[in-house]
Amino acid sequence: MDRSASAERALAECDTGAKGRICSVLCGHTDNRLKALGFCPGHRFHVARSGNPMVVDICHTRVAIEKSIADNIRVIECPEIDHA
Amino acid sequence: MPDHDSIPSESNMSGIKDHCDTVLAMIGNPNTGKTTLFNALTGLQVKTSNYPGTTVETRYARLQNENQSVLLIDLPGIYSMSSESPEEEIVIDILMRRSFSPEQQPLDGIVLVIDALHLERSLFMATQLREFNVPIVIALNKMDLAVRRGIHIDSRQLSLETGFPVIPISARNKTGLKALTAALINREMRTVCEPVNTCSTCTDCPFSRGYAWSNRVANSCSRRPACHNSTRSEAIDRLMTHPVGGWCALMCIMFGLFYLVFHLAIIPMDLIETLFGTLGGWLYANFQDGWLRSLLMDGIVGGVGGILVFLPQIAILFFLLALLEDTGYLARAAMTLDRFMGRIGLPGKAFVPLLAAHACAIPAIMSTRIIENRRDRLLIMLVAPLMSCSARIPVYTMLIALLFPNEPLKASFTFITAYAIGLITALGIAWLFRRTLLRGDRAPLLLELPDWHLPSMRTALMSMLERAAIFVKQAGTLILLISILLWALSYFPRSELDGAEALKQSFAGRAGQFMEPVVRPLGYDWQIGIGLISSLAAREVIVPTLSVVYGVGSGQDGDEITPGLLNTLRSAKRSDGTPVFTVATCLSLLVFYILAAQCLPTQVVILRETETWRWPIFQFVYMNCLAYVAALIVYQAASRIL
Repeated sequence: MDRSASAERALAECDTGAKGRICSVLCGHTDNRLKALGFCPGHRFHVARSGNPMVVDICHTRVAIEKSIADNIRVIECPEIDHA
Repeated sequence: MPDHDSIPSESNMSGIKDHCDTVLAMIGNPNTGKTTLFNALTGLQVKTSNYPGTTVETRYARLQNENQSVLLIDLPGIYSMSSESPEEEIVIDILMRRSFSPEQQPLDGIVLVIDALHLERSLFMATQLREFNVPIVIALNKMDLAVRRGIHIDSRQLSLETGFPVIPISARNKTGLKALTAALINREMRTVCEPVNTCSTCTDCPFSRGYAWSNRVANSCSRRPACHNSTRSEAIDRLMTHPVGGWCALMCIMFGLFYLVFHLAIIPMDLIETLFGTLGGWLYANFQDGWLRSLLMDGIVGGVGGILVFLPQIAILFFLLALLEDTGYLARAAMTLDRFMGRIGLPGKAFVPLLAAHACAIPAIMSTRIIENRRDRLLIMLVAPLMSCSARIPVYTMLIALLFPNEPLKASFTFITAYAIGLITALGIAWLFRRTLLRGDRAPLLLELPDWHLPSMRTALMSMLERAAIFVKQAGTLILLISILLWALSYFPRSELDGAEALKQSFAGRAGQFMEPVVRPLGYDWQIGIGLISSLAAREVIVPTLSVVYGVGSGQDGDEITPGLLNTLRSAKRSDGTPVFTVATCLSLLVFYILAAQCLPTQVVILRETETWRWPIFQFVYMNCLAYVAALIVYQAASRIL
């Protein structure tokens, strides 16, 4: 666990163009909506625009997401994978 | 048969259903083209109504061949079945009970609309629907766009993998619709009971499980090119989601929208006015002088005509909004505005009703339905009527003509200031209520940005016709009733006197005189008091009312802001001989009309949407208190300075 945690970061901290995979989603009441939109552990993402709100491509869908939510989505960046 | 022509409510829904052999519900994610498909399948015979006991809108229509008929119900678009929004709760409720309300026939099946461009996410809905044991047919929409983007989908394989019949279609190009209609009429649907195969790593989370399945199915029956986003949409998005570019685009588009709403509506509005004017003239010529003629002319034709004149603006506004929504722009605009609106405590989407309120508060309140959170919706309903609606324009025009005759620059500056006061007050009040009355965080932004595409004229026209029909229906029922009531107040008790004296003796006239001490600190006399009372039906009524009370002529030719009316108002004197319409009085009246709640139909619409008297009464009280205090300050300050 510790090994992967060191490479983990919040989605909100990712820059434009970042690619990777979702590790965990811990957003309380928006949890289910996020997951229904595709923010599930293991899914690939691509940051189309950083900032607040940020624009993220996930499951072939473009989503605008506020920083307060993106703060609670833990991701792992892996630049080599094909973006979602 | 009459039931078919009315909007189905809980009671008359059964009337429609008696004639239908099959009842089907259409379910799908937002932005899958569900509404376009529904319109393409059913044509113009769509009815809308609220799901019983809620404010969530559902749409109904019948499909028919020689011997079979289907009732098709378009349910709101949802992403999952987790009962987190009223929309999700309704869909779950319908599926659990298998019917739309207790006394009705059961639901026979589901048309699941799947977006070929977003197969994986759309299929996720299928995993949740399977658990309800309902027969399902999949309409695989946007096949034309999938082909254009090089996405290949094997629909037979998809049918094998999911277990449901799959019919590839394009609602926009109307391909595959015949096959779909035939499948619906012949009930070609399947029930799949077994739960989705679970992977060993994520058994605890139904979302991961569902997505693992939809991922596998999507991969086995579709091939997509490595990079799917078209460069053109990427370029548009780079501009539209840019912090500065987004704002510039928003300003330009909003300016264009307002220009079109006000400019294109001029001719049809003139036509409607002429029509009601001719009707009034005909009534005047063909009826004997008496209460009946006055009721028909002033109460019914005047009252309903005064509201229906805004129909062209409302129709154009909703047509353009539907076009913008169809392109995918509205979601980007909501995103651009979200941070700014967030500071006030409103969601970004709130700009749609706030924009619509500049034409008329009634459709604005109806359009708050796009906002999921109930508190957010309520907040917007409470402040939307502060925006300067079209009914205020005649009043602003009259007062500004009194204030600045022959000074177009000052006049237009005052006009813009009046609009700005309305907007700034609305945002300020929203900020205040968010911190006091409706405390709590607004729902944070989590919004799908749909793909850009060319809008469909047909969808926009249908949406416009639906909105216009709701508005006309309200004008013909609610607004008619209020108009008649207020007419009676200003007509009875009848005396033999004419014009101004008769009005003075009426209930409204007596109320005006009774409340003179209350309005005197604002710089008004009892005649203006009558104007304020008559404005409760609709604000613009103050113009003809003033022309009657100051004795310009009969109500017939007093509707226009004529030089005669302005001269009469200018020369009107108080009992002490000083002029009534001083600069201070005009300014105070202007501020009062910007802020006051003077449109009872608006309150009735809020009552219908919130299903409680509390909020409309609260709005009426707070807006009028605010208007009173602001007008008092303006009058007292202006009469001392000037």
